[in-house]
Amino acid sequence: MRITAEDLTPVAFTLAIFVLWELACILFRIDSFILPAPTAVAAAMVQYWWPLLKNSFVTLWTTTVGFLLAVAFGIALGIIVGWSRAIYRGLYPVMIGFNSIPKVAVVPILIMWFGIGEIPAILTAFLISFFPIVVNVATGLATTEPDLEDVLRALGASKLDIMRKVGIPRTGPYLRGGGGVGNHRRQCRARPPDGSGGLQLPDAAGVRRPDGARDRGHPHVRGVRRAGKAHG
Amino acid sequence: MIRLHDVTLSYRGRTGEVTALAHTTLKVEKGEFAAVVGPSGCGKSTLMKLVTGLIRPTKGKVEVDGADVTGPVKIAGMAFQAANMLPWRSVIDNVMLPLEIVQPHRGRLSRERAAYRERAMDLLGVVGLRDFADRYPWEMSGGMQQRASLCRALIHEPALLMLDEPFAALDAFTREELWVVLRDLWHRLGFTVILVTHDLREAAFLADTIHVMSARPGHIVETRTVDFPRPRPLDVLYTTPFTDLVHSLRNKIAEVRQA
Repeated sequence: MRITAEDLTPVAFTLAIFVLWELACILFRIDSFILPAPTAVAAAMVQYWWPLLKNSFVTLWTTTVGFLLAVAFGIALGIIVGWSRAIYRGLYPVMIGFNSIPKVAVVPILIMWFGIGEIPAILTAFLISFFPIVVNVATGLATTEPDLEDVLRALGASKLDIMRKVGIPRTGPYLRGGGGVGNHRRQCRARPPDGSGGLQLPDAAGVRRPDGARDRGHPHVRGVRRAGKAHG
Repeated sequence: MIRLHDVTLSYRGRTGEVTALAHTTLKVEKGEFAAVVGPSGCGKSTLMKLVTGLIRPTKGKVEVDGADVTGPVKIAGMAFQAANMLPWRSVIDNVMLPLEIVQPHRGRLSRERAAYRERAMDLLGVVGLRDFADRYPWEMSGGMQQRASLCRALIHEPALLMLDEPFAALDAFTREELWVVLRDLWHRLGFTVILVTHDLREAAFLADTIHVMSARPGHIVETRTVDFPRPRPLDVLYTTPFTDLVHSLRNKIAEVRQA
């Protein structure tokens, strides 16, 4: 595959930001206590590589466990909620409500319940990714295009068939986004320019398009990172 | 093949009882190409759902293939104005979707995948999409998606094809191209068609009979037989008898809209 100028832009922009940051620190004589320059950060990373690595590893495994739990329970609950329009309409506001509670605010409570350690970290990662997954799976299932549903029902498809062939796969790219599986990337690339080809879902608070196409920064990827910070 | 005996359909809307269809009687023979035209909101789509058994009539009787319709008929292929391709499936996998649902194909698919795939490729060949089988729907134009949607509606060799304004969202040239595609598929496979459309030229070009529906509550006010010889070339669109037919259909619809 040929590397085009456009493929290099992420690298170029990242480097440019570091250069600007470094320059700002030098030009404005910013105290390293307020904002260390990237070179100082790099030096510290070399010096403290072992504790950093050790703690990063803890963050990695706790957030991974939290995320996997969230995927398992999120899909299960999402399927239940999305099964019928009535359940979906009834529970949707409740889920959005829970999701709007800032997770950071829950962390002290978790620490009070479970003490300092891995469990609150796992639970924080879980909480951050759980609701978006439930909401997306449920929305994906509950909002199958009526025409498409007719096509399938006229073929004698059961509710379960429609779920298996349409509802669940359409939530797939969103979930795979967390794992960064290749197929997701491919879907990211090719957005129908006129917006005609893609199935589209209504945007709701805290809900990403399950086709994963609009944004590369997936909420649970972000979630995992944030949870890591909450832990460290 | 299809009989509607004095069918009425009403449902409870937000503002009270709505009658979508009133005392509709319709007859479509096996292998016939029937078109249903009418002003918008006249219950054409309701008619389609009744025939495929997706909804039950409030009064009257719907018969398909000699049997009363009590649930989804399972012998129908459907295509709508939106192609509704699944974006995570390649074109050929979209086309093969019905095979994963309809018996007996469903049970055979995993064993005879190669043969089924060949069948799907043949069908894609007829509509000129053979080279696009492994592409994704979003890589294709609206017209191409609609071709694929026709293939999906036909892959399980349904006895009945239901089309609800399938070409309405396409530009005039693509639409004419697809008329030809549909005409050829119909000649080749010999299924029964009910085509719901706003486009009078489309109906006159493709159909054996044209049923004109009244404004809501819809019922059929007139049935025309179209006897231009087949196979019909696109040139027929520019002959005097054709334009006369379209003109008189147009007047009829203007009349029922007023009423």
